[in-house]
Amino acid sequence: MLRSPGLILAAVIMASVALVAGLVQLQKPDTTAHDNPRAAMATPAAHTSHETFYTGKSLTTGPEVTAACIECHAQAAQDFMHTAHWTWAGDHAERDGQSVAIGKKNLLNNFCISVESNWAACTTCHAGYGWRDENFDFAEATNIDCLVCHDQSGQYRKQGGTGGMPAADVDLLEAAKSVARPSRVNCGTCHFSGGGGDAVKHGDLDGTMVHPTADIDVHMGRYDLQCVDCHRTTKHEIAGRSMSVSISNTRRATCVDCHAQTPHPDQRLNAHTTAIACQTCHIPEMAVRAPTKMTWDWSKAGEDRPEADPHEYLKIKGEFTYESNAAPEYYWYDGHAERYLKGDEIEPKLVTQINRPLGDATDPAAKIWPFKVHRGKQVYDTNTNKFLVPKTAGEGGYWTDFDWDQALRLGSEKSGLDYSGEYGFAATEMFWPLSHMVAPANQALQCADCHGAAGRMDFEALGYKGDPMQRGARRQQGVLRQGNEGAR
Amino acid sequence: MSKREFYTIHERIWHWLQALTIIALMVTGFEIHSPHVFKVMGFETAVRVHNAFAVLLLINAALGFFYFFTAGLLKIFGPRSADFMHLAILQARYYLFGIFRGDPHPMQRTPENKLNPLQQMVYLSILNILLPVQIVTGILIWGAQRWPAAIEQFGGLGLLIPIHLLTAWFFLADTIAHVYMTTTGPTIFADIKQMITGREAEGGH
Amino acid sequence: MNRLLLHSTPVALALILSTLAPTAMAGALHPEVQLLDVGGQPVTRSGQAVSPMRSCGGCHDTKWIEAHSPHSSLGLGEPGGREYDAGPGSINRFDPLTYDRVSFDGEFTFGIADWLKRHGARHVGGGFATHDADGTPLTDLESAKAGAFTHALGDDGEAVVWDWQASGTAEMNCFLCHLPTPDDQARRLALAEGRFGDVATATLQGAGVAEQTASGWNYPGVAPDGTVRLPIESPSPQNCGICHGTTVTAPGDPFFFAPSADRRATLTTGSIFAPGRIPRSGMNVASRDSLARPWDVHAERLLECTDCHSSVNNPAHFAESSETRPQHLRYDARRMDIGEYLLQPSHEFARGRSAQTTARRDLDDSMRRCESCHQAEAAHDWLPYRDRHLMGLQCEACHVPEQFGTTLANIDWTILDRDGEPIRRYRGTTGDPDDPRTLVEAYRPVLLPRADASGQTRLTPHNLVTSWFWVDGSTGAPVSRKRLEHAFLTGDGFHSSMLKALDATGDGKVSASEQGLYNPHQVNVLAARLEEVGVSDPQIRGEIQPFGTHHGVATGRWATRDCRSCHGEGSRTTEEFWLADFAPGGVMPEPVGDSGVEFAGELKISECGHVVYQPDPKLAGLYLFGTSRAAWADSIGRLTVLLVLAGVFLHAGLRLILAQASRREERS
Repeated sequence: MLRSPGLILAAVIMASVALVAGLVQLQKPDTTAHDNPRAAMATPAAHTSHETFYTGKSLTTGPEVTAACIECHAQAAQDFMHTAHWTWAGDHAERDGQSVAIGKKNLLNNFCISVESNWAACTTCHAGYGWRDENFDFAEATNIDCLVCHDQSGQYRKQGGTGGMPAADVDLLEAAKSVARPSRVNCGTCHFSGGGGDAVKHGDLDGTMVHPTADIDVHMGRYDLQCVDCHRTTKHEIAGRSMSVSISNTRRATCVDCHAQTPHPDQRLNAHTTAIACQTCHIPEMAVRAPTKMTWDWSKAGEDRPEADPHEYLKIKGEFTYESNAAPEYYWYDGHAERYLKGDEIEPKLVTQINRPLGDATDPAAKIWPFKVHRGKQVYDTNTNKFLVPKTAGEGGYWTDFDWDQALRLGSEKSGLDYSGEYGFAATEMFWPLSHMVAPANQALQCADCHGAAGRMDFEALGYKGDPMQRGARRQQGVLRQGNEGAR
Repeated sequence: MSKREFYTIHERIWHWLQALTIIALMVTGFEIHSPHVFKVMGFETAVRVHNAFAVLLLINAALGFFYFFTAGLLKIFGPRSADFMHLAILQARYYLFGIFRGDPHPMQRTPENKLNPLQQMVYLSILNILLPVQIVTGILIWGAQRWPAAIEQFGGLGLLIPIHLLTAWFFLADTIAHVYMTTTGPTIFADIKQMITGREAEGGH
Repeated sequence: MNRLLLHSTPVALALILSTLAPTAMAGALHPEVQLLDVGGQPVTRSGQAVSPMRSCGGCHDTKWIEAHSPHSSLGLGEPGGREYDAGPGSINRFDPLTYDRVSFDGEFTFGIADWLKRHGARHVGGGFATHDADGTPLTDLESAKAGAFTHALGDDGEAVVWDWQASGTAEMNCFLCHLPTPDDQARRLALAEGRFGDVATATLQGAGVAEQTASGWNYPGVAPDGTVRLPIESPSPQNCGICHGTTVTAPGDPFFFAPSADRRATLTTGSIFAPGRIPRSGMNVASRDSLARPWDVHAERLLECTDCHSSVNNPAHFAESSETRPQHLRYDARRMDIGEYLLQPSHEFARGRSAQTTARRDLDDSMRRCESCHQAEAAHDWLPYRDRHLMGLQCEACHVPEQFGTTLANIDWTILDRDGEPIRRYRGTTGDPDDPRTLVEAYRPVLLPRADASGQTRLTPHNLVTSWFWVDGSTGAPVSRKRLEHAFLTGDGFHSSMLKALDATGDGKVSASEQGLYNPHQVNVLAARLEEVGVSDPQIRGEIQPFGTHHGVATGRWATRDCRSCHGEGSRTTEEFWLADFAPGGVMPEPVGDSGVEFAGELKISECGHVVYQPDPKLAGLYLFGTSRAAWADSIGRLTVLLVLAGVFLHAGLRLILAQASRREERS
C-alpha cells in the first residue's frame, strides 16, 4: 500500500499544489476590507403584486381601502396601531410622579408649536383618516391610512385640513393596486415637508432626496437606498429616534447597523470614533441644496408688511431666516435628551431649550454630534411663565383671524393649559441631530476643518482643555469622569 | 517478454514535477521580463508565482539529487566505457543521417543504461551547469531584497539578471529540443509513454 | 500606559515652544517689546523706523542670530559655485530664474542695492543688506571705484553711488516671519522704492502699530516709551510661504495663485502646501473633480513648516546626527535649555538635501527624514520586495506621484520680449498662467538617481528647468541683463537687426510664436549685436537645473501603488521628460554640475522635435524587472531558440517526408 505508485503520485501532487498555492498566498497583501456594509444589510421581502386584487370591490373612501387591506393584513393593522406613527406618542416621561406618554400629539416645538386644537390641519401627516379633533378613534383599524406609506402609483395625496383624508381626485383603486415596500417618496411626503414646507424643519431631509445625486446623500444618491433600508421595520415598528419627539435611546437606526465601528484604514481616524459620531465628519454641511429654516420669530407675526419673500416674512407666521449649505453646530449627545413638556415653567429672560441633548465631555458614552439648532420666539403666558398652545389652523385660528388672544383661548381649551389672558414671546432653541445628507467619503471633513486656527470646533466650549490634536483625547486630558471609563 | 520498468515512480514523479516547474518558471519569468508582451497573469502575480515555483523547484531538485545519489543512479549520467566518444559519434551520426534512412537505433537501452552518450552530455550540462547557475542566480536575485549589500558583491542585479535571463533562454531552447527528441523513439510517442508509465517502450531499443 | 508620558520632555518642550494654533492666548505669550530705532531711541520719540536688531535685541542676541542665519547671508562669503559664480548661494550664484548677478568682482553691472530693490522681497534682511563682505556696515563704506556694495544702477543705466545713510539698511526683519499677519505689500513697496530702512517698519504695519506719514512714522497703540505688546509667534506656513511657495492653512480656502518667482518652490516644482482637497480650491487642475485628495497630506494633518524645518539648536527638535552620536545611544537627552535657546535661537534651519540648494552644505540632511517619523516597514507590508523598494526609491518617488501647480519648464533668455522679460514656458499648460481659467495638467516628476545622506543612491522625483542664456565666450560668464537690454531693445521695441531676423512673417512685429532662435542665422544676428555692445565671443549656453520635489505628498491610494507604473513598457523610470519644444540656437542644454543628481540617461531630441530627457536607471546601477533590458542576453537567447526551432522543424520535416516516402514505397 505504501509503495503504491498511485498513492505516491497523488501525495506528491497534493503536496506540490499546497506548497505553491501556500507560497503564492503568503506573498499576497492583506486586503481584507475593514468595512463590508453590504453584508449587513437586510434583504427586503419579495414583492407580491396587488395588480389583480380587489376584484368586485368598490374603493371610494380611504377607510374602504384599509378595510380591503385588513382582509389579509389584519395582524399588520394591529401591529401598526401600537406604533408611534399611529399613536403619535412613543416615549414616556415622568410628570408629578406619574408616567405620561409623550409624543407629537402633546409636545410643543418651536415651529408650528403644537397639534392640539389644530388637528384637522396637522394630521394631514398622520398615517390615518379622520383625526379632526380630540375624539379620534385610535382603536378603529379602518382609520389607518395604509396608502400614504405603501402607495406607489404616485397620485395619492392627502387633503389638507381634513384630518388626513385622501384628496378627492385620487384614484384609490389604482393606489391600492400599486402598494409595495415604502420608497423615499412615501416617507418624504410627510417628513420632507415638516414645519409647513419643503426642507423647513429637519435640515437634513427635503425633496432633493427623491432623486438625489451622490453629493447630496451618498446612501440614497449613489446606492439608491430607501429609507426603510436603514430604518428597518419589523411588525411595522420602524427603527429610528427623532430627538424632536423622542427622548429615549432604544430602537435606533445607526451607522453601525451596517458599517464597522472602526471602518477607516487610517488608525488616527478610527481613534476619533470614541468621541465623535460618524455624522460629525460625514455630514459636513446641512441643507445641501434647499435652504432650511434657522430662525422663526412668532412675535413679528400679524404685521401688514409687503410679503416679498416667503423665506423672510409671512404674516401668519412671522419672521424667518433660512440657510443652505450651512455648517452644523456641535454638541455632546449620549442618545438621551431632556425635553420641555407642556406645562413646564420657563425663565422667560433666558433661552428655553425645547429639547436639550444630554451628555458632556466627562461622559464616555457621549459623542460629539452635528446639530441643526432652530432658534425662535414663541408665545407664553406671562403670568404662569409657561409656553402656550395657540390655535393656528382652522376656524378662529391665528392664521385666519390674526388674534393671539382668541387663538390662545381656543388653544388652551384643547391643550389643557391655563391661559391668564396675558401673553408674551420668549426665546427657544430646538436641537435637530443630523443623520441624513451624508456626503461621499472623499468629501468628509478634513483635519483642518475641526482642528487648528481655521477649525469649526470650539474645543474649550465642548469641555476639553484644549485642542485634542495637541493635548490628547479626553482620557489623556483628564476630562473623562472616573469610574465610567471603558463603559460604552 | 514482459516490459521492464525503465523509470521508477520516483524518477517519473521527479521528472514531471521538474518539467512542470521549469515550464511555469519560464512562463512567469518571461512575463516578469516583458510584462507588456506576455500578459498572462499580471506582473505582480507573475512575481509571486515565480517565487513559489522556484521554491518547489529547489525542493524537487534537492530531493531528486538526494534520491539519485543515494540510490546509486548517478552513474546513469556518466560515461560507462572507454569507447564513450566512439559511441557518441555513432549516436550523432544516427540522429543526423541514420534516422532518415530508417536505421536501427545504435544503443541497446537497459534500465541501468538508459541514456545515450549525447544525452549524457546534454543532461549533465543541464543538471550540473545550467540548473545550478539558474538556481544560484535566482536565489541571489531574490536575495537582493534580503541582503542587498551582499548582492552587490556578486556584481549586483545588473550582472545577475542578464545571466539568469540568458540561462532561461537556454532552458527554453533545451526544452524544445528535449521534447522533440522524445519523438525519436520506436514510435513518436513511445518515449513519452515510457516516462509516464515507466514501462519499457514497445519494440524497445 | 499614558502615551504622553512616554514621549516625555521633547513633547512638553515642543508644546511650549511651538505654539501651533494662534488662539487668543498664544500671541499674548510674548512679553511687551520696546520698539527702538537704529540709534537706540524709542521710536515714539524719534518718529524713525523701527530697528529689529535693536528692539528684539533687548532680549534676544540678534547679532548672533544674524550671524547664524543663512536666510540673511544667502551664501555670501562661502566658497563654491561654478567657475563663473562668485559663490554658492542665492546672492552670488548665477540663477537663470532671477538672472541678475551682483557684480562682486569685475565690471560693475548690478549692485547690492539693485538686487534688494528687485529681488529683496525674497530676502529677510540683514547680512549683505546691512554689511559688506568684510563686515563693515554699509553706512560706513567709502566709495572708491564702482563696487557692488557701494554703487547701484542709475536711471541711465550707469553706476551711481548709493547713499545708504539716506535709504537706511534693511536689517534682518523679524516681523516678516514672526508676526501672523505681516504687511508684505508695504514691505515690497519699501524695497522697490529703495527705502531699505523702512522695510521692517512697513512689515509691522500688519500688526496695526505703525503708520507711514509724510515725515516718518507714527505709532498708534504704542506706549510713549515705545513699549507695545505684539503677537509674536513661531512662524506659520503662511509666513514661510511668502517667499518659499504656495502655502494655505484653511482647508476650505478657494485659493488661486499664479506662478510667481516669489513662490519659488511652487514655480519650480509645482508643489503646493495646502490642507484642503484639490476640488475645494480655486486652481483649475485638469480632472480635478476626481482628485479628491489633499494637496499635501502633511498640510492636511496640520503639520507646519517648522515641525520639520526647525532651528538646528531647537531643544524640542534637536537630535544629534549619527555622525557624532556614539553607537550605544539612540537619543541623547542632554540639550540646551529653553532660556538659552530663546537668547540665541539659531536661524539655521534643518533641511534635507535637495538638488537646488547649494549653499551651506553643512546643513544638508540636518532635517528629520520621512523615516524619522514614519515606520515605512509597517505601512508597506503589502508591497512585494518591500525592502528593495525602500532601498532603491526615495519615499517621494511614490508619494509625490504628480504635481498640480503651474510649473516652470524652461526659460529662454536668448531673446527678451518687449518688456525685457525672458520667455517662460510651463508644464501642462499653454495658456496664460495668470488667468485662473487656464487649465493646468499635472505633470509626473522625473525620477533621477541621487545619493542620500548615507550614500545610498535612490530614485528621487525632480522637475527639470532648462534655461538658455548668452554667455561671454572668453570668461564663460552670463551676459548681464543690462547688456542684453541694451543690445536687443531700443526705446520702443526691438533693435532693428533683431526684428528683421526674428520676424518670419514680415509683419513688422515679433509675435509669441516667433520669439525664439530657431535657426543659425538668427543666432548670428543676435551674436553680432551682442558683440557690438561689447560682449566678446557671445555663445549660447543651455543649463538644466533639477529641482527635487518633496512637498505635495500623497498618501494611501493616491500614492503610486500599481507595479506597472514602473515595471513594464510604459515605466515612469524611463519615460521621456519634456524639457522644451525646441533648443534655441540648436544648443543642447547640459545638466548643472553641482546638484548631486546623477543624470543617468539620454538628453535628446524626440521624434516630434522636442528637447527631452530620457532617464535610464540601469545606467545608475538600478535594474528594474520588466523595464530594464539586457539586450545581449535577449539576443543570444533568442538566436539560440530560433536555431533550435529551425533545427527541430528541419529534422522533423525531413523525418516526416522520408517516412511518408517509405510508406508509399511499401504500399506500391
